[in-house]
Amino acid sequence: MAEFESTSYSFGDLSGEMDQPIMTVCDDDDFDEPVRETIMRDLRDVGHKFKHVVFPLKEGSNLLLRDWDLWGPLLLCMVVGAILHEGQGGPHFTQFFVLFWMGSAVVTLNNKLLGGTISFFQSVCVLGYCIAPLVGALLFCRIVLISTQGAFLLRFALRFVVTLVAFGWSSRAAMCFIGDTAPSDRRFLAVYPMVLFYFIISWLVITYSG
Amino acid sequence: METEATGEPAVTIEMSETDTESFEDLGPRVAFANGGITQAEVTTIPSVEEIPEGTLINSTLDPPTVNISSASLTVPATSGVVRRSIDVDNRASEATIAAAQMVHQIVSTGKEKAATWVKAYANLDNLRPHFDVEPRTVVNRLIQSFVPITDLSSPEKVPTELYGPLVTSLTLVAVLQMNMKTSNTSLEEATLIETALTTCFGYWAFLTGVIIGLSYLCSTYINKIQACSIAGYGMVSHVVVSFLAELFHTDRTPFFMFWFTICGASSARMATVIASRTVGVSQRILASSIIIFIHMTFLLYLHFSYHHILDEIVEVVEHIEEALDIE
Repeated sequence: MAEFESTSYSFGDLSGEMDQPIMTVCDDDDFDEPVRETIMRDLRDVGHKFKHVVFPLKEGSNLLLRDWDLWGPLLLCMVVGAILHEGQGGPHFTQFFVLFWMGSAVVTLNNKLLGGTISFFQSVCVLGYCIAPLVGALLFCRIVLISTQGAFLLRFALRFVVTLVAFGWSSRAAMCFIGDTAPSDRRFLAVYPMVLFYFIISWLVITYSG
Repeated sequence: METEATGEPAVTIEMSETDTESFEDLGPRVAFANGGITQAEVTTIPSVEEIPEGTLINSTLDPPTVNISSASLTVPATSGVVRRSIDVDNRASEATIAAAQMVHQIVSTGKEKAATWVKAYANLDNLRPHFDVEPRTVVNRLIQSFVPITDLSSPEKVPTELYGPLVTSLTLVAVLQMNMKTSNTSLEEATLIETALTTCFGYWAFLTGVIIGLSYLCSTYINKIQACSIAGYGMVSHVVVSFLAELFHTDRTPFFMFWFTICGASSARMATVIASRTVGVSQRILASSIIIFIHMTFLLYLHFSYHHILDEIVEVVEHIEEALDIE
């Protein structure tokens, strides 16, 4: 026992810190930021994407495809569905909801079958954001129907022109984003279902009678 | 079987390899069948390979346990007494194992078949060759869908392309939706878009099925994809006539004119293509007449079911005409 106690063992230098290592907090880590800031940042992102859709440029196409989200499309879908639901007839909200998501799925599937390089949710994101001009047209139609009385022909002509412009605007914006992802020799084949999709929505807008 | 040490016969209840595997798969169900013994309990009790001679069987004692990890089903004899009838227990176990085996076999076969089906049909890569087409080719095929062939002596080439039929169906959905909206069609338990989708894609599938069925009956040389393509391109006439009927919706006369000429031409094209690939005059007549009848009747159904002439529309048109006259 005495020998054991007198024996010295050499373990080298095993000294160290008992404290937890301090983690370097990343700048983009949103764990500690207030909820309000997170929401505002997301809203700013959504607004930034709307700007790219309203003023479609080639440089902005990467943003929508890279940082895709479904908040904007969902918001627009809800707005259009809610406004259309006020009109006469059947369940317009359900109808538009089904039309929007199934139409997006079909357009995306067609694009994939034609050899497109875009993913499913990227396509849904782009198609959803690009109905923004048509939502504007629907709001305009709503205001026209509320504010003006009589002059049926004038009102209809006004709504028709605005919806037509919005239809062209939406189609062009979507073409800027999705058109390039399809093979160049089949761009027309990829664009046609997309234009048809916006045409149906435009028809719903123009036939909205308040 | 005798043990090497004593030479006494061993009373080991052995089961086949497959039975034991199914038994393992059962898990809690086996425990339930054996008196509520849980899996945890079962695994903790060691297995006994042999039951000594003279073992008393008493059903009031502990139930037999099963070592799931071992390859054989054994009966414990820790105290030399088995509390339950082995025969009754074995019969119940065999029935359970047989049922489990059957369920396992059905499930595994179903899984394999589903995986094979998904791999064969739900894979996009398998469909891509049918969408490999030039825009100009599609336009040519759309135009040709109204031109009946005159020479039935040689079989007409039928494309295996599906882009045109798919887009035609989607366009018909859009036009039908327009018709329904304009006619103020109201449906009780469905939305307009659902009805339009079901009607158009349902008809495409139905007509394809009819062509395939006729090919069996009349010995027509045509495969499923070709039948799908023919049916899809045939629907172009429905799109055109429905759209024109939408424009001239104040009277039925233009519709009947378009129906007879445009839809008739399209039906004749489909019928002649099928006839050119069919051997035998009577078979040709049978197949052609059935296809023409179905195709032209469906357009009548579409029009009279979803395109009502509303008095309000007539009034609006008259109102616009009056306004233009005043100006």
